Amino acid sequence: MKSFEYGDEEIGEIEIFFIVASFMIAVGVLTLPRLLAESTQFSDGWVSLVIAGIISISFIWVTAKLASRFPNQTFFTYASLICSKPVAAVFTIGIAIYFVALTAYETRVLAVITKQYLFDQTPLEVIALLFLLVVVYAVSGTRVGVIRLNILFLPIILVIAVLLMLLNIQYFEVKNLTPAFTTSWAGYWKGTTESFFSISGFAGLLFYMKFVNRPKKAPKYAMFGVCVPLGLYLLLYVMAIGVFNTETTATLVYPTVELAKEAEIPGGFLERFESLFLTIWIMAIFNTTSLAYDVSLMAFCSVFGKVKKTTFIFVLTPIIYLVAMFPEDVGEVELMAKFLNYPILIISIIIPVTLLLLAKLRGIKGNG
Amino acid sequence: MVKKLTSLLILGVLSFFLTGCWDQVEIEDRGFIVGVAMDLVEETDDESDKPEGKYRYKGTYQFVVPAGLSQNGSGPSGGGGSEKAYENVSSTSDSLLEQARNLAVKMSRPPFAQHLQLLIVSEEVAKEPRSFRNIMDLFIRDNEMRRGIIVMIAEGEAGSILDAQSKNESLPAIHLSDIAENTIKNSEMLSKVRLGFVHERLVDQTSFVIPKVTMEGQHVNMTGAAVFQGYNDQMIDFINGDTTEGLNFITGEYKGGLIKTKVEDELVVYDIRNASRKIRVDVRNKESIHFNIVIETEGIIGESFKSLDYANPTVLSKVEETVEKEIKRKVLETINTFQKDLQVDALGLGGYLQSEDYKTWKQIKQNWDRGVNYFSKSTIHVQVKSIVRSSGAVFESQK
Repeated sequence: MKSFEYGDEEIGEIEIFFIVASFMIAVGVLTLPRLLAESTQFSDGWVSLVIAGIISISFIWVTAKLASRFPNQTFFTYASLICSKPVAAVFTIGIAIYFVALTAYETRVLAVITKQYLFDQTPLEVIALLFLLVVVYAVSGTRVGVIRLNILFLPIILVIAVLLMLLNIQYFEVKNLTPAFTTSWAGYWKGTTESFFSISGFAGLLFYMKFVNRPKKAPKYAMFGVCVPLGLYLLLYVMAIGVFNTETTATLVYPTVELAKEAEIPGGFLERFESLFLTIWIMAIFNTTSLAYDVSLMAFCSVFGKVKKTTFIFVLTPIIYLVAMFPEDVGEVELMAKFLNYPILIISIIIPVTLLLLAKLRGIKGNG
Repeated sequence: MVKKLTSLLILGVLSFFLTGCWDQVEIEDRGFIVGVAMDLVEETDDESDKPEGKYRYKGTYQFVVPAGLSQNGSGPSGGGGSEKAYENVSSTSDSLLEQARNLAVKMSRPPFAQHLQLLIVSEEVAKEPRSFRNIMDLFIRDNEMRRGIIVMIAEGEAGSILDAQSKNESLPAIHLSDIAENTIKNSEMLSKVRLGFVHERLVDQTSFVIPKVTMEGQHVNMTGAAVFQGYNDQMIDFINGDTTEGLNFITGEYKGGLIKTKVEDELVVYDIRNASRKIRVDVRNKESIHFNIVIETEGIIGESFKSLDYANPTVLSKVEETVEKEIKRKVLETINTFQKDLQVDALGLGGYLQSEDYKTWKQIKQNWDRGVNYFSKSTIHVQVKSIVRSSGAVFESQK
């Protein structure tokens, strides 16, 4: 008797595409146009963004390639094969801690922004706690459940983002985009680094590849997955520059929310599009946060095989909540984001590249 | 037993979270502000120790009175009911946020600005240094405000304009923002200016224009505009309807209007249905900057006091020629006003120079419409091409 087709702990390459895309669509949606406008002139930011995108795509390929060498093995297992068990344990726990910190950061940012725009009177602590509890509920269930939620939410997020742009077309001024290529090299470089952190860092792929039933195809779909946030960010950036011009975009804390506030559905039918947009954006943050938490749980479970997942959840959740509440003001939250950027270089570039090179040199292959 | 107790405890804790939203405010308890007007009261006392802004403003806030609205909805008589659909409340302070908060002492329903439509700033406020941008700050900064709020400059007192009566619209603020949409019928008024646009001009420091609004007896008049200097955001002067019309031709905002001409000493009115313009920049060096403006219009004969045979191509081209001449005269007059009298580039020509020749622009940016004023020194050529598409329902209405 065949069991329910989608009930098993097994995913296809399409799911890889969706989780890569929805992990990367996060806080950058709101802030990236400003970061690019600060460092580049007129509409030159797209160059930085495309360069960052290409770098990110190549490293996601390396990551996926590494993981697909060892089908149905956890990261910890094959990392131990390549470079001894203690080193692998350090890597895995390091990645796990990074994703715990990321979960805390996303929770905090969500609380800050929803408080600012939606819940004026609700205490920040309560918003963060409720959000975290929902995330905990999601990750306590089956892993495939989290992934299916991602697949469900991503199209809604994209549709609302496209609607946001359509509603703003009437304010778009092509004149704001020119002259082209006036930015200095330093400006392009700064823009590239700023945007790289928004569309990279999904080392979680190292873990999710274990569940993929056709690992050979996965690297290609992971690369497509990066193209979705890249395209979305490009459109949002160009839209913000066209509607506000560069100097103004650089002064707006969340340019995308301002775009939503600019949008008006003709006839006064819906005057506050930003509430709808922010609600959907919460779904995007939920996607990212639940995946990040799930990855850290997977990492911990693979190292400490005997401990149950729920035990980790009970231990980690209070820690995440405390870390999330640690920064005192928006400035410190920004600082937290900066600290979280550096490990991206290690976990999504250095670790995968060294491991893949070592595996090739030593000829280590999984049983696939 | 323990298990039962814990589950009871969890249920108890959960009920705290499920009671409802912290931020819930019933719609009956909100005081919807639809319009705001800002007037200057006085300069504050410099000697005072208290932290104060330089000027004290009087803000007039228009609140919706829903009871008045529903009355109007039910009867065909419109605004003739016993109760007005709005209430104007004023508050005086040097800080706009303080003004708004002070309203809470006077109104049973606390102010809620998410549906704010209109902001009128008086000429007096706009002409004081730094005053205009200081007033704009709250509207740009506050989360409740949207960037689509329409901004106007009042000639005379701004507060009284929020009392402009109309039989059709029960709220003066809505009445005014609807008039701002009528640029398709009249070219002597400016297209509506949104708060977002003002913010962009405050940041990029280019000069700009904002529609003017005046009270004429019981009715408002929205022809003309207020011209703002870009680098200090201070209002210089008003321009009249004719200059505004020329400006609309140059900025490409011309939506529709009419041109009166004389053909063989009789009045012929050309009704413009479509107008477009192209601007080309020609920079030899920074001392000689040329702009070529090509304006193309399409329209019909709207009114003709002279009996002419409009089926005849030679007659048509003759009319077209006089129309072109008239448009050119208007546009040149406008250019003259801006270059020689006001000496500010509210025509947006600097933007074209920036796109076309960024190197030159970077050199002269600081002296574009101030200091050396390269804008006044530049040469602007105008070419007009007008087409008469039809003569209406008849060729000749009389013999």
